[in-house]
Formats: sequence, structure tokens, C-alpha cells
Amino acid sequence: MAKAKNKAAKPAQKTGHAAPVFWILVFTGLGIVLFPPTMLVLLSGMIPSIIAALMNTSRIGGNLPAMIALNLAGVVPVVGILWERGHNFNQAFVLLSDVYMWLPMFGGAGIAAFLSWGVPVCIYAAYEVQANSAAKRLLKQRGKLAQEWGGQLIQDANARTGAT
Amino acid sequence: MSTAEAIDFEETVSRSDIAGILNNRFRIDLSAPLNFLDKGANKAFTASDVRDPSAKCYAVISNPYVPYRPELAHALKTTHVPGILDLLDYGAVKFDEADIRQIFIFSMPDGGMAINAQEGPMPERQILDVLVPHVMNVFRDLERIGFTHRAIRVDNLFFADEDRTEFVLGEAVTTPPGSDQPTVYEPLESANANIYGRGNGTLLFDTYALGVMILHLLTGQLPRQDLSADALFTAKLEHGSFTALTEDITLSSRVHLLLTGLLHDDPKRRWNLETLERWREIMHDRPQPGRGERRGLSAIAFLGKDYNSPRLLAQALTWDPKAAVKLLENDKLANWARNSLKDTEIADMISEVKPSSIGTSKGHKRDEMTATTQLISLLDTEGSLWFKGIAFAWGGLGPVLAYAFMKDPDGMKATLAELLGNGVLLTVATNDDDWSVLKRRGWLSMSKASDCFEFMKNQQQLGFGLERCLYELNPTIACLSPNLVGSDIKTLSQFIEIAEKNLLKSGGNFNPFDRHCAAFIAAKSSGLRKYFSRLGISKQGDAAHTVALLKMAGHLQKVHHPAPLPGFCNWMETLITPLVGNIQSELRRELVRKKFESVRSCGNIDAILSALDIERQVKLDDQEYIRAIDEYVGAERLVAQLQNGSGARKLAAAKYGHWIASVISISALATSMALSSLYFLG
Repeated sequence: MAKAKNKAAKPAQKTGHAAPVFWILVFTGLGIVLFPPTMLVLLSGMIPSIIAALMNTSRIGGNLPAMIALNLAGVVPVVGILWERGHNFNQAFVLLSDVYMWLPMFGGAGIAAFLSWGVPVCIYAAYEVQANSAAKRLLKQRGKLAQEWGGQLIQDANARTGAT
Repeated sequence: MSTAEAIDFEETVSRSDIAGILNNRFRIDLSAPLNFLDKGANKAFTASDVRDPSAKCYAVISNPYVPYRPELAHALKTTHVPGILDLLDYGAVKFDEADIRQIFIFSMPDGGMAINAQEGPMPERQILDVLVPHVMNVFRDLERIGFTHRAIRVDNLFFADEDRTEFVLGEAVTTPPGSDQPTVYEPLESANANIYGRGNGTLLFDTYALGVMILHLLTGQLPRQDLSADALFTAKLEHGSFTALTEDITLSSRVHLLLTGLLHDDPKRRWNLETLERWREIMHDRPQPGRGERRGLSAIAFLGKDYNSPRLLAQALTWDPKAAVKLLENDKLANWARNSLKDTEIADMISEVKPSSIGTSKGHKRDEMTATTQLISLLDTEGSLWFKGIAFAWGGLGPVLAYAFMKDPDGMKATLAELLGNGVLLTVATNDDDWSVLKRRGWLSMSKASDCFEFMKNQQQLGFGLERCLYELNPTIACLSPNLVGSDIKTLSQFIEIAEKNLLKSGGNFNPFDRHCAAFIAAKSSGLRKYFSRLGISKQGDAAHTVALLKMAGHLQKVHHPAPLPGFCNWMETLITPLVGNIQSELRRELVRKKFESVRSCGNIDAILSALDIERQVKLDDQEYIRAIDEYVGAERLVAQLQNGSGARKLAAAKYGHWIASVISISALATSMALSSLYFLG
């Protein structure tokens, strides 16, 4: 019964991952046919996310959406400039040859990578400080109890923890 | 090993060279003993009357273990009985703060003892014409006030005047009735009893003693002193007292007549006062001398000897209780009583005696010994009650208990504890449906037997046991606690007062509620039952036990000595200190200590107890200690969890950090899209 349930769960998981990939491929296919210069800029700007996704999605985990989002946030103004200057390959190549256009596109990906590394570290540090102060408070409280009730309390407490 | 508790009375009585004064009148000089007037364990000393220096008197100092005869003492003090040494006064005399003794003051017999070793026999004429009428007068006066003398013997007979013409009987109040009599002076009813258990008896006991004294005076020596007490008892049973005692003695017809009447073993045929008063007129109705115990038609064999007298058989049964119980097999003894003695009532009772606990009523365990006691009580209805070598006559159990506490020969205390605790007294009492057997014998009243049975049932508890029986059965005996024994404590006020002094002296280092004190208090008080019950259900050293003791002390202080008791507070400290030491919380411990120090100076046990509220403090401490252990264990667990939870925290931080990074990124994307659309689309 349990095996049957596991078998049922695996195709559903596959379907869950496959659906966005399918829509991305449809969007990419349509984009290449309908807006080739935009797709050129978009695919070029999104290279960090594509590499991150292809390298190891499971390791990056929650990192990937952040990477895609910030990467895309950097690509969107460049696509806007392309459309403003004229939507053609010439302009697309001009933009792609401008280093200042790469800066927001890859910079966004860089910021995403930094956030993915830095925020957990900061939070972990905060957790450690909190845990240490709680442990100190508890040790102080324990010391007070031992001072008030004497060594017998420690023996009895040890006996109880030993018994349990 | 003997467990006698008596102090060395002779040593303590003579160590003092100071004089005490009784009721501001009689001065007792402890440096001048009068050994010839000593009475058993009581010692005699010279005394003088402060108001009348010419009056000659002496004092008897009562041994605390010797119960005196309070009713007789009161009667002789208030009523003058000519012919007996006058009891001038009696009461407690203080020789020292804690050295208080019961003193009896008697007029001094100027002529000394009636007979001594040098003088030899007394002339018959003097005995019959002077002594006998004199003693008869004493008997008449004693009968009038309803008492017996029970100390009529040669060494208690004196001359009142220096010319040695007027006889006077010695005192009989400072010792238990008959306790100083040589065995030969005792009739069969009490002859085999313990010396302290001979009982008050009746005037017929005194007439019997008079008969023996006449014989003693005539011969100048104690009759049948060649026989042991047991052999003498047997001889009296076998041949009758008259024959047993006058064997080989030539008597005049007048003395023969007199002794025949006085030494008769059957109390119904022994001369009473009325017959004695007209003994000289008896010419035709001369009494027949007793011929020993009544005989059955046939004999019963016991230990290889044939017995046809129930009393002789009863005496023989005491020698081998195991063999005695075998007489119950096939109703052998009952059939003998029925067929030979023609006593169906006794025969029926004997057949109901069972040697084991099987089939007995009331659940009392009866072994061979108790069965033998029952048999003896049925065969010798007039004699002493026997149990495991201890015998006592009518009303003699109380003094026997005091004797056991004084000397404890052959584990007497243990035997008495067994007797009082195994219900045999109740069984003997209720053998007869209408209890008439008990009433007739008067060994012990039903209520007292029942009370003692209850006291022995809880003998491990304070305020119960053999000590309680001692004080209940001897209302005049002083508290015999080893710490208070020389202080003649008779009331609870005296108890508090003396105990307070001793506690002050010792710094609270003696227990004023040992077994003796507790039993004494229980016997003398009312309203302390609840405290004794609490003591019974709690363990020594427990807070509840200590609090019950202290509450009892507080109650006694309130009722009997409403003044500060710093000595008792010292003792209280010795009880409270371990309790306070057992309090786990240091804070609470210090608080209780400080409270005690602040209130102890008031000397009021009740007030100190309520200020300390020690029972509640100990209970709270126990509860809080359990809570503290919980907290300690909880804290320890949390600390361990926190110290070992680094990995979990790292995971949680990563998860949360990624989520935050995603939120920031998506917010940045949305912002970028919004701004771009605003900028490029206008």
C-alpha cells in the first residue's frame, strides 16, 4: 500500500517540475519566433540563472528563484532600452556589446548569489547569540536553585535524569 | 539480663546529711537511721517535732518503687486508732531542688520491739491476757473504718511505753499490704503470691496472722522456718495450717483452742472478730482443726503422683504446664472434677478450656501456659492467680507491677506484659457468664483488665504498654522515669515543674517524654488522647511526631503550669533543630531559625509552635523541593538542547535566509518591472 502511494507521488512530483519548464520552453519558442532580438537579449542576460539551474538545482534549492528574479530584474530595463531604440538585431548586438548593459543583468545575479549566502549566515549568527544568552540564563537559574536547595538537589536531579 | 529500673535507693537516701521539714513541723534527720524500723525497701530515720520537741517520732522514707496504701494512710491520719503506731503526718518533703521524697511520720514506740533474740519466748499469760485483747481492739477499730492491717507479725510488734507493758502494732501504710510478712504469716489465699501481690485481703487474713504471731511469740522463733515457701504452702495444703505449724509443739488447751480457730484454712470457718471476742466463752462448740484441703472421691494422676485435692493439683500444675494441658485430653480433668469432686460447674468450665488457638473465641491466642492459668484459676478459686511463675492475690496486680519495675527477677516484666496483653485475664474473668467469678475473686476489675489489654495492644506506642498499666493500676506511685525518679512526682503540675528544672540544668538534654513520662502523663491527664493517637501513627523523628509531642507539652503547660518554661524551650530546640536541618531550602531554614530565636524567649511552647508553624513549613519545603528538582532538570535539559542544537539552528537559518533572499529578489523584480514600464511606456 505504502509502495503504491510512493509510486503515485513520484509522477506527480515530476509533473510539478515539468509544468514550468514546459511553459518556459513554449514562451522561449514563441519568443524566438515572434521577438527574436528580445529573446537574444533575454537569453544572453539570463545566462547566470540558466547555468545555475543546469548546474545543480537541488543544491541551490531556494536560491534559484532569487537568482532568476534578481537576474530578470536586471534584464528587464535592458529589454526596455532595446524596444525604445528599435526592436532589431542591430540594436540588440549594440546593446550586448555595451558593457554597461551587462552590468545590471549579471549584477542582479551577483546580488542574488550574495543574498543567498549572506542572509542565512546573518540569521544563523542571530540564532547563536539568542541561544547562548538563553543557555546562560538557564545556567544561572540552575546555579541559584543549587545554591538555595544544596547539593542534595543536584544528587536527586541527577538520580532522576539517570532514572529517566 | 535484668531490666529492673530501680535506683540505688539506700545510697541516695543516706548520701544526704541535710534535714528536710514536713509541713513546717516534722524535721527528718537523714544522718540518723533507725534500721530496726525499716520497712522492706523503705528506710526509717529519726524525726523531731518542731512544735513539740519532747514528742518522740520517726520518719519512714518511701522508696519510689514501693506503692503505699493511700486510703489507709488517709484514714489513720484523720482517725486515731489506738494500738497502732500513730501516723502523725505524711507527704512530700523537699531535700533538694529535684530530691523530693514521700515521708511518713509515726510516733516512736518507746519500749522498742516486743521480742528480740536475747529475750526468747514471751509468756503465754502475757500473750493471751494482754496482747490478744489489745489486737482485738485494733481489729475492731480497723473494721469500723473498713480496713485491714496486713502487717501483723512479731517484728512489727512494739511496746509503746518504756516499762514495756503496753503493746502497739507497727505501721502498715508505707508498703503494699502483706508485703513484709514472712510467708508463714499468709493464709492459703495469698501464701503463694508474690510478696507485693498479696492484696488487701480481709480481716480474716489479719486473724490468721495473729494466730501465727502467737505461735511465734510462744516459741520465740519463726514457725516452720526450716521449710521453703513452696514446701510450707504444700504442707499447709496437705495437713492444714494448724497441724503444719504446730507439729512438735506442745500447746496449752487455751492456746490450742485459740489457734485452731485462728489458723483454720477455710475462711468461712476461720474465726472472725465476733467469734474471737468471745473465744474464752467457747466451751462446747470447739472448732475442729483443719485437715488440709478437701479431698475428692478418687485421685487423678499427675507427674507420677496421685492427687485428690484440687488445690494441691493446681499447685502441681504450675510445675509442668505442658503436662497440665495433657490432662485436658479426652476431658480427663473435667471428668475427674465431675465424678470425683462432684462439681459439674467447674467440670463444664474445664472442658471449655482449649490449649491452642484453634476453636477459641475472641481470637485470643492461648498457649499451654494460659490454658494452665485457666485450669489453676478454676481448681483453686480462692487462691492466687498464677501465670508463668508469677502469682498474685486479690487486688495484688498493681503492686506486683511496681515490684517488677523495681527488681524484674527472671524477666518478670516480660511475663506480666504477656499476661496483660494475651487476654488471659479477660478470659478468666469471662469464664463465668455472669462474671461473678471475677467479682468474687477481685484479681482485677473487668474494666481495668480490658483497659490494660488495650494498653498492651499498642505497647510500642508512647503512652501505652506496661508502663501505662503500672500507673493506671498504682494511682499513688510517682513517675519512675530514670530522670525524674527521685522527685516524687505525683501530679502533672509537679511533673512540669521538676522536668523544667532538670531541663534547665541539663540544657534540654534529656527527654521529658520517655516511655515512663508518657505513660504517667497519659494516666494522669484527660484530653491528650488525640496527641497520643498522632504519636502512634507517626514515626519518631518525623515532623508530625515532633509537633504532636510539642503540642502535648504546650497543652500541659497551658493547663498545669501557665508560666514561661525556658527549660522546655531548650528541649524544644533539640527537637526542632533536626527538623529545621532537614528543611532543604536554605532560605526557609534561616527564616525558621531566626523566627525560633526571636520567639523562644517568651517561654510559651504553644506560642512558639504557632509562630514557627513548623509542620506547614516542612510540608511546603517538601512540595517546593519537588518543584525545584523539576525546574533544575528542565533547565539542564534546555541548556543541553541549546548547546547541542547548532546544526538544527544552521538548517533553520539557511531555510529562513533563503526565504528572505527570495522575497527580496522577487520584490526587486517587481520593482524593476514597475519602474521599467513606467519609464518606457510613459
